Amino acid sequence: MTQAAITAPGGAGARTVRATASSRGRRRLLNQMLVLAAFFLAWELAARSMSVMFFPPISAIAMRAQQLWLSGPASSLFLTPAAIRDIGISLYRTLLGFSLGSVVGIAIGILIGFLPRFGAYVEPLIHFVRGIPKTALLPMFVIFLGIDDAMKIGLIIVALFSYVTINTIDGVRSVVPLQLDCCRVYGISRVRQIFSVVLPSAAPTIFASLRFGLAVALAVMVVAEMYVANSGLGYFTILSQRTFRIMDMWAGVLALGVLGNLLSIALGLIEGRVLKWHRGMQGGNV
Amino acid sequence: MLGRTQDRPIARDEAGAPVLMTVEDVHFQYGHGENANLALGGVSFTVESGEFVSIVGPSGCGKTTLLRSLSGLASVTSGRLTLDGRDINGVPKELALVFQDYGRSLFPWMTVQRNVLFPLIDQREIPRAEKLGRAGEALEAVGLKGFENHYPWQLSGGMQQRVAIARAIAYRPRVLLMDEPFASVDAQTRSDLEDVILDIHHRFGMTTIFVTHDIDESVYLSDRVLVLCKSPSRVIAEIDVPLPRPRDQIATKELTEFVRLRGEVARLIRSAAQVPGGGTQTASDPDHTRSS
Amino acid sequence: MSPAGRALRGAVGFLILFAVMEMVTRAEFISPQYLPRFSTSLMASLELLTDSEFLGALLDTLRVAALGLLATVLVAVPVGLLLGISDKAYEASRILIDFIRPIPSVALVPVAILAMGSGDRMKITLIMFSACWPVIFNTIYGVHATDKIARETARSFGMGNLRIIWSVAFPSALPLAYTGIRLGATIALLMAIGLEILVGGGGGVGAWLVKVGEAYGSAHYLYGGLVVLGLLGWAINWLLAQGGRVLFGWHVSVRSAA
Repeated sequence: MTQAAITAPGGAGARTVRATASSRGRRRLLNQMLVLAAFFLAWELAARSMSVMFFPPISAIAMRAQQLWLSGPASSLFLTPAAIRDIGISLYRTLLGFSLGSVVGIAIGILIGFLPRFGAYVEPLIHFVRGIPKTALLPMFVIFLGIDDAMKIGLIIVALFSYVTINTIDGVRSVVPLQLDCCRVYGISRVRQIFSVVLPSAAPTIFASLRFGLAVALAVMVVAEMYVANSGLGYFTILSQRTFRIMDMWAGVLALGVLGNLLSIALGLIEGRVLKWHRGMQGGNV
Repeated sequence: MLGRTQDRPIARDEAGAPVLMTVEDVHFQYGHGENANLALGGVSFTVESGEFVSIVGPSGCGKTTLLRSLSGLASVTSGRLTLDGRDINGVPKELALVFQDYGRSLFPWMTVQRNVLFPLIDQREIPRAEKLGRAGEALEAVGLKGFENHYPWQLSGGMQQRVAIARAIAYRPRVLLMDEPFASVDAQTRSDLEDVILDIHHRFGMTTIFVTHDIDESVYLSDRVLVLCKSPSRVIAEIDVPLPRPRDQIATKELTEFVRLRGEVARLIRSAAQVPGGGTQTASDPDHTRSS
Repeated sequence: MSPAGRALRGAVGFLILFAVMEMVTRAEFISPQYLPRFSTSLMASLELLTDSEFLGALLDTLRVAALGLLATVLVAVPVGLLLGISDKAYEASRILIDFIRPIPSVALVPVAILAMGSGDRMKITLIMFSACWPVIFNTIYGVHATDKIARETARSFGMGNLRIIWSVAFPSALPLAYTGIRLGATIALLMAIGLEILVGGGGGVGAWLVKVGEAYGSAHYLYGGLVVLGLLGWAINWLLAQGGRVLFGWHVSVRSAA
């Protein structure tokens, strides 16, 4: 494959099919649950038996997490004010950065894909941006945009848009020419062509880059929060480590893990709906 | 331009306006200089309102190039194309084109119904109810009633081509162009689809230009068959097909006249295949000239 | 548009960007203390190419990233092979992997620092944790894509499982595994620098960037350093692509690629 396309297999789309009626499916699910349970059990036992200060048992971590963030009044869904301050802000930054970065990436990708002349000037720049190790931009962004949300969101956008752009370009260039001919024959407007034909056609490869982009967005957000911030889960976790609140630190790690999972699942659900047709195509016909 | 078409009265539609498409001395050249390839070397013919015209010829006679030029997808090197007396510039919206590659001309992310409705999507002046009505009617005409919510990839090849045809019909074009639409389906499906086209032609009276390499098919479906020679192509013969309608796969093909006509077409193609840019010219027997 | 035409336009694109950057930085919307003239930064990047401190830091980072990648490959490829070959193991571990993979490995930085200090060992461990995923999954993918017929032919010759793995599955899976390794390399470099920034004072280009960023009047070195890093990232990518072509030119995925 060219410099293009993140074709990372095994993304959210590869998540285990949970509800299968067949007994084979059920047995598989059971196996997986067993492995998961074994993992947690092993952790629990190891932690209890070793009683090393640094590795508390999972049950204790979960309890601490619940204490910190889920022990609020029922009226606010049991969330404590700390939950809003720590988790909410991290979620906000990640989502906003990811959304904006994706939109920017797709828009630029469409421009480059549809305007070859313009694209020839701009595409190498995009590849250059992709080559920069994104974490290296952190000191520069701090100078530029301070330590507020704007800095983090801006950094996330810059970090992920190049991957989305490259995959979008790939997707746009792979549209079946016959389908575009059809649009021309029936007099479909350019704009309609982009939204009703090119984007759906390119959607599978765009989503592959979105999965990768989500991981990047989350990682960049956490690094930024650990480096310089005064709120957020990353900040909370590293602060806890520095002040030797071990249980809190682990709670932060757990929360970040859960956050990563929830976001990944959410993206997978969206992808499942949008690409329902694609899934069907590959499963059914030869 | 063959002289005989000038003595025939020109068909008119209900409004009394002449509805025809003309192709005048069209040339089409691929490439330049040394690599130049003249696919069409002076093609001329007319099509009248409501007519079903087939275009046949040996392999490499530029049939597809001709159709792409007619539809506006490709620009001719020289010559004139008119629709309703007006020159064709770019893609005229009165035309619809059904491609050979049905599988890839449909959009897999849309249901059958959405695919059929798609060409109408930007025509705001048509109320949604009417669009849905047209789609339903078109799907019924091709025999796919009840499949509105299926996806194209859930359907067989023949059914997919029907969807493509339904899409073209719902658009209500003045002229329906078809580029070897049944070349990629099996024989049984092909005869079914041929009858679908005949039914549509009867129901909607749609002017149809049908490109095919299948001689039997061309005679079976058409009012007139145009024979092209090898590239650089010209129309070397126009054969009227005065067989009675409605046509039947078995009864019509048993008629002596059918056999004679298909033989004539076959001979023309055989001679055309041997000589590029040439071939014997036979005008139709005047007794068979259709009068309207 | 010919390839030469494309290359020319690409170059012009860069030049246009440089011109715009120069004008913007000269207009001094942002104080030159923070955003110096573009030309100054470009000059600084040239200077850095011969600066022993910067080069030393760069080599530190590359060393850590390379070691991390090596460790990743040594662990992840066999794991990927195993999971690719044994469907049972793959199915059983799927759910575990599905839950662990989305955890941002940077979240483990505090834990890692506690357990291993802030030295190379910690960095390499965390690099492994984040870079292993593309390697594992692409290896699995590569094994699954191995021509089934090739495998069955080997079996019909009486080759045992281990032999089949070694002579058929492994070579076939390698090109796709290599794609995963390339992705892993990107992640390794990204993580190495990120960790250096967080840990500070521990050497490496990340720490260097932080130091330069905080110092007064050396912003042009910061941007110059980023330019060098960008070129480095691009060069590494290119080198790995070329390496792939040399090693795996026989594989259809490489042959059909531009």
